[in-house]
Amino acid sequence: MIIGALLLLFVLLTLLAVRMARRIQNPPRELEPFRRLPRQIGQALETGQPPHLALGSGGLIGNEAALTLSGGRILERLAQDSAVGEVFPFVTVADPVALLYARHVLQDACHRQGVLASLPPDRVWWAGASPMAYAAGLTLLLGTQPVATSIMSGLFREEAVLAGEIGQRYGAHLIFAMPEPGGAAALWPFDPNLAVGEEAFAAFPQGEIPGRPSALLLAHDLIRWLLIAFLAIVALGFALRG
Amino acid sequence: MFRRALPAGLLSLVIALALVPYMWPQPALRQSLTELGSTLLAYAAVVGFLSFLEAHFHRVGARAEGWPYSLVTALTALAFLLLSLAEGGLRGNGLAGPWTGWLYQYGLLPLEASVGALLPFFMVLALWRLLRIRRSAYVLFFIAGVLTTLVLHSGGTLLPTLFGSFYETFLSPLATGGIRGILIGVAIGVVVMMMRAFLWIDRPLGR
Amino acid sequence: MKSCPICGAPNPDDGMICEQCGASLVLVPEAEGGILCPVCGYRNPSGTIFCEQCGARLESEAIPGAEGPSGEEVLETAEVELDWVATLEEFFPEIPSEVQPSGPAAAPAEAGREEEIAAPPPVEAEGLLSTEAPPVSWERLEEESAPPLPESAPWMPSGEEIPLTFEPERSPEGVPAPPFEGIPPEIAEPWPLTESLEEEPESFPFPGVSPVQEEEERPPFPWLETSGEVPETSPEVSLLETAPFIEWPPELDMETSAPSQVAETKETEAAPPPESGMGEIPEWLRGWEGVEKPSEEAIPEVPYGLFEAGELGERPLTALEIPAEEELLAQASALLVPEEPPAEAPPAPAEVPPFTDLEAVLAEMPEWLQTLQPVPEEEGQAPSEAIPALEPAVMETQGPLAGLVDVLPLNLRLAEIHGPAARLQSEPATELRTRAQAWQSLLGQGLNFLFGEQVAEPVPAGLGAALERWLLFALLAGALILGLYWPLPFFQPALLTPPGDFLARLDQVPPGGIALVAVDYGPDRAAELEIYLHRILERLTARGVRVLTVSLSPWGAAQAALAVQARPDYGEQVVHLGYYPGQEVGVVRLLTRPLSQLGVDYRGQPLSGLPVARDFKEDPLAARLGLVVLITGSPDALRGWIQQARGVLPSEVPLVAAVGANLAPYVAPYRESGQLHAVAIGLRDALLLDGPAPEGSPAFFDLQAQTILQLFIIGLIGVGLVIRLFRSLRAPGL
Repeated sequence: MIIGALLLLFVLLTLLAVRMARRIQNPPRELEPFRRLPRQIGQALETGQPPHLALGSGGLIGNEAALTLSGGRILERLAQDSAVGEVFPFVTVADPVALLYARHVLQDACHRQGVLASLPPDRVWWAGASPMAYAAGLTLLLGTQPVATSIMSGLFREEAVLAGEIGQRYGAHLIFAMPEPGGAAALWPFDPNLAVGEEAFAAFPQGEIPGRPSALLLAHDLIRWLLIAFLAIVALGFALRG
Repeated sequence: MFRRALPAGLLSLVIALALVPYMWPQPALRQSLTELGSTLLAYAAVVGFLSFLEAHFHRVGARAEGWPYSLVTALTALAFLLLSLAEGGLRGNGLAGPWTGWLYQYGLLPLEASVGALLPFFMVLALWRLLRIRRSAYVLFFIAGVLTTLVLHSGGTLLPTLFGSFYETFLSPLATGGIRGILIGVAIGVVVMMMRAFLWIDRPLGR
Repeated sequence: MKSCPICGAPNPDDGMICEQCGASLVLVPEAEGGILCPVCGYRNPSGTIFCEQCGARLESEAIPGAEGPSGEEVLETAEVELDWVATLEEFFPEIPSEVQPSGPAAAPAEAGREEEIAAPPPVEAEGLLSTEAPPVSWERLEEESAPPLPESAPWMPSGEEIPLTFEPERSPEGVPAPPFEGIPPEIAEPWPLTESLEEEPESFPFPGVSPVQEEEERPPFPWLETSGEVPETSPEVSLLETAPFIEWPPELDMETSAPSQVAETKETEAAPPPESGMGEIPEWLRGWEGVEKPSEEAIPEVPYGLFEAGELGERPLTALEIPAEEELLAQASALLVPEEPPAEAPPAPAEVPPFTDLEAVLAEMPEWLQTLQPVPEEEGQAPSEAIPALEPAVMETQGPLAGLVDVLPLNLRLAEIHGPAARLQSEPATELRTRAQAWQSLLGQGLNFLFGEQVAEPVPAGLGAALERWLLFALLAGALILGLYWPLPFFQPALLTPPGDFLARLDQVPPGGIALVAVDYGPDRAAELEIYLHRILERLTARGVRVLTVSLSPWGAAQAALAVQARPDYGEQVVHLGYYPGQEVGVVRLLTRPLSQLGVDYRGQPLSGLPVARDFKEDPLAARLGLVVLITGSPDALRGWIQQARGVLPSEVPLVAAVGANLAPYVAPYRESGQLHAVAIGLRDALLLDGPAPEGSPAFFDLQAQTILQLFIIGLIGVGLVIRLFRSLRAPGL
């Protein structure tokens, strides 16, 4: 029952956030890593070097699914914008389900742009099955294929530092979205502005109105404040009782 | 319109089915969904492997940059697959057979351990470069955290005794609380993401 | 409610900025005196040169009799601005004139009055052509009457008063008010947008005012006219309907395409607005109607005669003939003598060539000025042909500006109303949006705006970067090798304590009992966690405990197979169940599954034939377990096992974990809450599972190497901080 009530509450908060986003006229809050993305896409178009997106070790089963779907939004945006100049992004995955999903998103975006026939079949790489092998595969890709931007968004651990080091050494612009603290701590020296925690899920949400606050971020805020209030009340109760 | 709504509708249905056992405990439903997921995972592994071979052979055929690596990668993967199939077909052991076990123990294990051994070197290098970030207060906080952890865990010396009680009293709750806060944030992100997919606000499977 | 001094819109009493036009509602305290702007009526502090509200020039001379903040009489400056700029504008109409004749502009200041010019009518729904007298609610207006003008002013008629307000009630008799020049820069819409726009585009905004005929050419300043003609005025338009800062003669040519006329009309001073049918024209304003130009005889030496229509270019002036500036001053001042307006409207000037007739203008250009014309590139090309014909300017067709040409674009500050009346949406003002964005960017920087921008140094390419990298690696490797082979004096393994509670839980399982060991790590964590698997198996099997190993990942199953399947007691005391799919769900399935249904082991060998499964019956596995051990380096596996197993296992079955060092912050809450009964963390606890490491043993050197590396990194950070501090001291700002 508690779970059902919580789920209903989350649904209401999500809808409330969507409604609030349409009415609030404050300037939208932007996350630094994702704010840089459009410019990097433009740079990729200008230089002809494709961007690279690493979706991490997660698949579509379990709580990793949300991470992979969030990375899929980034991929969709990358593919849509860069397909104009037929500069298709590279995508690396470690899970076969994520591979199928990435191929679907990439092909769908290219199909909508009308450049599906130009899409090479080697744009989605299964870089490795285990996290360490995946990091090694990332290193291989970044070392052999010059990329303008390397975006790492998904489930990563400390081995992501290898990919970050190689990317930085070869001059790629690095953008990180790490929900897990381990990967975030390992990659923080490369980019202190990386997205951590729930920020990693806030890339290019669909249905957003330009110039208006993001409904996704508002939903995060609402649930966060609700949890804070709940924890504060519980802590106060324990303190008074103790 | 139906074709466009089908993926989103299926996703919403699956999310609802996955949430039902939490409100109406049905072990059979949960087990069925788990086995369905395992089956899909196996299917995806097969398709993914074929896609992997296609990608690398395409690079070899197109003589793309780094094509020798792609050739070695693809041939090695094929060899391992054939070996496992043969062992499974001949001995019935599959991945537990001696051939694959030997390859795992003397091939995969040392390679991954070697790559893992590089981690401390590159982490220290990144830490060294971090000290060059100009005018950042966050760098000092990060360095202080790293120093504290290193001092406290440098066992066998007298250093841990210098900060032991201070760490237990102040720093440990802060560190643990920070980790938990980030994990709660991840949970919030997951919940909102799936709620938006359930309500068709987001359509991750395409529009 | 108070009204805006600029547009007259009602505003809250505590408002600081007009909600309609954005003008400031904050006034200079009256007690301090101040200078009244002749354009917008804003009261500026004394000593201000340009109006703080609209930017118009406030004073070119001090007005005698005016009082400054200290009460001292403002000194009079006899300087009279030249109006030769206006003359120049005949040929270069696009040059804006920043010089305002001191006489008209300084009239309010000179008079020293503190009354303000009446504002344009407030926003009314009736439209611009409303014939009702707009209410003038000037809370700042004072009732003091202006002192009489001094007689010493050269341009001032003796014995006459110059009114400073358009209000008929207060205007002194016979003295025309000085006209105003130009539209203040901050105010683009003198009339409210809500005014009715139903009039025809070609109609003149002033009702009853006849527009100037196109063929008429009017000099910028009527008092410059030598023909003695005065612009025709219409008596029907009241001054009250006009903005105080905007005035153009009713003869304004609304259809002309010359931008110069617009510039001229904006600076027209002498032409009074026509009188409206709703109110009388103040007497002082009547004096401007039909003002006669000074005759040539009165100013025989005025060079303006050369610029009369038709006379331009007849004879070039020599340098000696060009009058001196002082003469121009005196002569120009004579032209500023206000006269009584004629009873009848003066006839319109005849045969004044339109200014758009460039060729005619060029033909009248004096020879000395023609030398400045650009030389045509091609021979035989007439100079007039080299200059492209002026394109007709864009003429406004709507609103109160209908008929005007080359009007500045609408001020963005004014919001546009969209949508139906029930749901109006207004766009935020650009300034407000910019301000919000500035705040947002500032707040988004967090500590950066205090401590500066975070800029990571890019990896420098070249030999230096490679040497730095290799040196660092060499030092690390050296420290590692040093720790692995040479015992160091400062390392004391006695200070290391083994995980006692973890060992106690392992020893708690009774002999013959069943322990489940979950192996969930891959080859990358094998170096750290493999030791746990071996030593736990040794400790449990040495006490006769049966061990079942299982994994939720294929990697863990393969890793456990290497360690378990090679044991000599495999099948008797240890069996490897292999990979169990389903993650968290698989944990529940495994623990609730009957032992007899476990099936086969990792190699496919049936369990029923193995001694370890001799008493496996229908009871579920969770009911037969005496201990559950998690060996993992993954936080997901740790969470999944703890959260699912604790709901299935009986409370008396302990759950312990042996994790990598990276999971130390993850296990702490579970340990403190009691969900985990014991924890062993990292390589150090693994090496101490068999007790304190004796000196010289492999465990001793492994522990020493780990400590040496940690100390080395501590020293490296210290050196880096010193270098950073040294550099920042040497070069501040870095």
